[in-house]
Amino acid sequence: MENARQNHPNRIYTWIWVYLLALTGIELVLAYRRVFPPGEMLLVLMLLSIVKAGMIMNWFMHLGSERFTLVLTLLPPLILVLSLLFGLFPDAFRLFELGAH
Amino acid sequence: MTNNTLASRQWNGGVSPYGVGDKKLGMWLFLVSDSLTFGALLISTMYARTASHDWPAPLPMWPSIAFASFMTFCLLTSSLTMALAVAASKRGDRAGTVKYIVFTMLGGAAFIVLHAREWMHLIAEGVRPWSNPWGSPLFGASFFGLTGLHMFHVFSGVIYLGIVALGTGRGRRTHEDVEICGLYWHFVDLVWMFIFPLIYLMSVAPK
Repeated sequence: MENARQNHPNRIYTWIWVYLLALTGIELVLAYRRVFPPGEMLLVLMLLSIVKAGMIMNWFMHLGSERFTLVLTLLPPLILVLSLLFGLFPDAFRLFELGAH
Repeated sequence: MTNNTLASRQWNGGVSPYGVGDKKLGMWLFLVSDSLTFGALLISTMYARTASHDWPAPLPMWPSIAFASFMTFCLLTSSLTMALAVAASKRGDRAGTVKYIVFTMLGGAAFIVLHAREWMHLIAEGVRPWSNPWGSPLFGASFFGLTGLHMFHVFSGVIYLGIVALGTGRGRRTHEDVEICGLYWHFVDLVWMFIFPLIYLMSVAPK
């Protein structure tokens, strides 16, 4: 694999580009045909986006080829802080629970 | 010397624990902090949307979503040409590097032009950062705030790419500089992968 990557990196980049476009196309079709209700749609779209972000980071930004210490320094704090932001989220439902529609 | 050997034995690295140059580490740290900025904006948009009872979903498939999809295509393609530029600079192919960076800049410029047109269209429909014809005024604020910050990133990215392309052409920039510039560009693309579904695809107008 590592060898193939050295020999044909451009082919891999092109394939990643095709996959990213295909995933974007899937997102577009899901939104256009309203396959899911909004809550589930958000979940599905976010999952697809995280997959796309992972592909960009791993292959385009070569994070997978860096020393693992770098990955450990960059990603877990980012994920932790973003998750902490969601801690405020239940407050957003206050209006609905008060019955103000 | 003794200290160094000891350190490198106990802590694989010692001198350079990440095995990357200081410039590249700096760019990665900047990108993490920038992700937090965009993450906070996206999460606050979702918060405002959940907390409002009249959040509008006004974007029609044509022209808004079609434009945004084509913009996504431009940005993804420019990411591909950027990856090709980094690969060319790794081979030491200076002309190829400059060529692919220029393609990347064209992709970014196309993105900005299309995005500006899309903004004009919404502004003509009466969307402002403080009001819009359909519902919660926060829609305009979060739409223009998020896409505006992203557009500014693309804009500064195009200038950054131009500087690196000029420097590479004159042989003043190394492979590392091109790679770091690529990191920034791929990040701008990565952020759009979240803005596009959250701002556009979640706001498709009902048929």
